[in-house]
Amino acid sequence: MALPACLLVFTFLILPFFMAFGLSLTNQRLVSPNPTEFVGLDNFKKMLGVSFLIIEPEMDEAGHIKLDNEGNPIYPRVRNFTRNQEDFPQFYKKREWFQLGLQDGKVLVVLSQDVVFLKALANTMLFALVVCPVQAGLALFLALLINQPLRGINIFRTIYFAPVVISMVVVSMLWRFIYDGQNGLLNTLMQMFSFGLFEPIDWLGNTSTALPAIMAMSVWQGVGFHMVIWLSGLQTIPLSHYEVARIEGATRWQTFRYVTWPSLRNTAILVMVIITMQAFTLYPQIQVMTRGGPLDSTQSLVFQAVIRGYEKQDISGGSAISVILFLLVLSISLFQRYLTREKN
Amino acid sequence: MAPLSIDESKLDGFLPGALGRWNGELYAVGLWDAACAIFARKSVLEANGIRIPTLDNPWNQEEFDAALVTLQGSGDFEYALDLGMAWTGEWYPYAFGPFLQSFGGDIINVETNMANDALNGDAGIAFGEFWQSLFARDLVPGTSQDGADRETGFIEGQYALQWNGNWAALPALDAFGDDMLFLPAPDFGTGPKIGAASWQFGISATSEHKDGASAFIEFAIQDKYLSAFSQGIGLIPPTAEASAMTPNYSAGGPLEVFYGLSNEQATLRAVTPAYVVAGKVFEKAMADIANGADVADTLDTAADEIDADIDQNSGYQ
Amino acid sequence: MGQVILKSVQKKFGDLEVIPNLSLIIPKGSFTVLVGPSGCGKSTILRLIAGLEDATGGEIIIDDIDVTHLEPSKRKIAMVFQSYALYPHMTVAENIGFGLTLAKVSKKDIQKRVSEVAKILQLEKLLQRKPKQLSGGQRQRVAIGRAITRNPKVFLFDEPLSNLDASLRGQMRVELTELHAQIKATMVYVTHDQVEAMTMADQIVVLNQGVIEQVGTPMDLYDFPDSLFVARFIGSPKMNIMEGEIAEKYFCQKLGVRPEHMEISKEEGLLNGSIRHIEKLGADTLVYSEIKGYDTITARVVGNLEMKIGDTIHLRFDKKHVHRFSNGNRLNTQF
Ligand SMILES: Nc1ncnc2c1ncn2[C@@H]1O[C@H](COP(=O)(O)OP(=O)(O)OP(=O)(O)O)[C@@H](O)[C@H]1O
Ligand SMILES: [Mg+2]
Repeated sequence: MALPACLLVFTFLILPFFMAFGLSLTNQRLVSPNPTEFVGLDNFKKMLGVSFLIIEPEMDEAGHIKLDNEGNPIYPRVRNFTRNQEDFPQFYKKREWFQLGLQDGKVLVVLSQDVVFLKALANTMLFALVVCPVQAGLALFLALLINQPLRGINIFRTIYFAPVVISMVVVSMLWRFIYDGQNGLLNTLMQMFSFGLFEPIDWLGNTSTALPAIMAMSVWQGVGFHMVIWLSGLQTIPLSHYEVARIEGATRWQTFRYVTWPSLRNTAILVMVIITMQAFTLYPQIQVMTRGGPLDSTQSLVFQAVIRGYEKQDISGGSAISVILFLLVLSISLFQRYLTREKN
Repeated sequence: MAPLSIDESKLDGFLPGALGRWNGELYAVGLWDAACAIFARKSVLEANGIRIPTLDNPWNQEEFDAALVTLQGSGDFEYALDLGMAWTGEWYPYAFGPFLQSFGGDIINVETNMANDALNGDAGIAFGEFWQSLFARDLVPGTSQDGADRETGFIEGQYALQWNGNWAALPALDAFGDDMLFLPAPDFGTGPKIGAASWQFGISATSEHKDGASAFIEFAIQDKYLSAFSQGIGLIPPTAEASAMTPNYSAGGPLEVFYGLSNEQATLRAVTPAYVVAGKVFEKAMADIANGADVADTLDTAADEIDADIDQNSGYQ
Repeated sequence: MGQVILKSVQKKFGDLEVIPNLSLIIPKGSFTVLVGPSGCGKSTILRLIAGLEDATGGEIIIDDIDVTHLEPSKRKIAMVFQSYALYPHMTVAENIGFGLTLAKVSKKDIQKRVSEVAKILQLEKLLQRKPKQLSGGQRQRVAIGRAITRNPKVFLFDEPLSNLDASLRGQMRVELTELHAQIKATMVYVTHDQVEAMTMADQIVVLNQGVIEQVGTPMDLYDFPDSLFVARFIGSPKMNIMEGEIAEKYFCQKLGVRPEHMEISKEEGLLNGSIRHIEKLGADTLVYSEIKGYDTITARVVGNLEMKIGDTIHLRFDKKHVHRFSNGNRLNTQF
């Protein structure tokens, strides 16, 4: 009986994972006449390696810090350290990831050979960090709202669930119109409600708004699915548990805190695990809406894995990202299990 | 892929963009060519006192820039020029790579088989700065351009000029008739350049019937078939004879100018298998620079990435 | 303390009229049992008193206060559910102290009250367990404990023992009766087990389709059932109801005689037939006989009986033990 299932799991889950792991240690290409070579952890070192450079403001002959027109100190270009510089071989061909100001006007520059990957990693984590609680919370809120024996409540259930049955690709395409920088629905609405005071924002074209915009859309798209899971959890709570609370004089909040929430423990674990995994596999939204831009502000791990493995034909690089993603999700899942273990 | 064994005489008069040569051997032949031009309206240019460039005397960088500023300043358009940033993918290297070449740079230097110094040399950086300035000054729509605007923006008058290919020429002609102009690419220093492009027939190195396949290709590239093909799909026939046989591209035909563009300006993109990756990298660099990334750093990174890929593939030898 | 008065209370669920019009006084400190067949509205009445359902009409008064529109928590009542409704994520102590926790009573006071209650219900050793680590009887006691904690004036029990096995039920009956004696609060108790009703109640309310058939002490109901419905409902085995010739002799439509008042006679009489089934209970024996002209008649005989299935049997009864009914109601007139 279990054989077909095992076979499927093996061919489509276990085998690909070990293949990905194996490939990530080579320089395998999608198509190449050259033989594949074993390169050890080179792929991972390239992606994860960072180095640190401290730069000081430029001085003039008199020992004063040079200032630009706006009165800010002038720093030497990072490029001077990273390109064609025999004095700094450790920085060769590395690029600035981000800077931190230190005291005395010194600046710490974090350099990496693969800034795009690190940005993808940071974005993915940020995405998960924001989307998980917001989506789970909103879904629970909606589930509580519609878990009432009101007439016509099924209409609302259907409405909230509708985005889930539409493919994320289609949803992303639709939301591109909503987010359009000139006459998108969002800008039009904002202008209407602010009586024309609101300046239209190019939501997806702005480094500061692109990722939040994608987060908001993702939350909207997935919230119905998690709402249904919450709802199924809510419906396992016997009515009498609420009636006791009513008789004992619980307020709405107390009912939620002492009755509803503790009864939803297992549902909560399920929802969190699913949302986390979904959040880490952020891809179609990026592919359709921004392709990682503007300026890498919406790069994601899976998007980079696809870009490298498929579009840039660098199977080993794509595999290495997949392996990192797998380990990341695995460790987060284990951590979640640890946090939510039965304490006895 | 295997080299084709086709009689060279049959290839006389072929547009360079329709022939795929590498290491001195012919590997592929295309049944059509495509060319880009600046779509413009005579009335608009005249109203703004802008000189109409010709194949022999295209705009130089200052003229081009001034034209854009003037058009933008007229206030009649959302943007002076539509570069087609919405068309992600092949379009970027195909349409914008020639600008870089006209500046004197290139995506990959074919001689050294390296992107460093070609892409991020002085010419490359000069191109990058110019490129960035177009976006910084809001002369052109950025990377978040809507696909629909790209399709209809010029015809509906949102954009004064549009950088587009001959496949989009007929709708524009329908809309503006005699007012419609197809202008050659500007000369940014080392001559005006446009991309050459076609999908071509080649033969797999493992094919058992190379001769037969070659014979078929030889048969298919007769002028009568080329012109029929062009009429079917609207693209440029790759020979003058075939062009003369089509109503659109023959002398006096509405699209004749494209044959001239293809013949005069077409520049092959770096002919190397590295192009697959290099094109993607170039696309991202163009998008990033358009969005305000540091020009030199971005081009450095792009060049490094292309070179690393070439290295990883043992130089694609 | 804890008098409950229902004045012309009505309850409809949509178009379904469950309680047409019901008036009832539940004296303070009484142990009042609501009995009736399934679906007759017992739980509904209890829930109306609790405030878990809103009355469609009428008034509910607890200790001179009109509580008809008060929240359940303001009515000074407590309810014990058939399913116990214990919170699985809370310990026994937390379940018992739940009401006090909600009322933000200090931890120390909660602990004090919980241990008092635990003592009454012999739950001291179980306070740190979770409900799923308890037996059915223990769970029931925890549910009762949670009800006691806030010193309610009225306890409402909805079939609290129906999930327990027979012997545990017997034991819990005794414990509940003792508890009632100890805390002296009013208890309203719903059951369809008439043994529970007879043994625990000092007042029984018999309901039929949302209408009160009779209110009285257990023995009142047993000895003087007001209606055919009550006569049939109270007592086990059921009262024998006969009609036809024999009823006419007593000037009524239906004549009732309890099984223990049927005697086996040597001579042929009014009721003659053959034995269909015998149940020997030890202390006494139930004889089910096929009587000519009537249905099965049950007789209860003290001690053992030396007869077997198929034997001819003659039954008789004393006329002072008959119950006479016409149009479903008791006839009290002499004959
Ligand atoms: N929420 C409700 N909505 C509609 N009808 C209801 C509702 N609650 C109870 N009823 C109906 O009211 C009638 C009385 O129900 P109730 O639960 O009071 O019966 P009961 O005497 O407690 O029966 P049981 O002995 O089976 O528990 C039943 O016909 C039932 O179907
Ligand atoms: Mg009931």
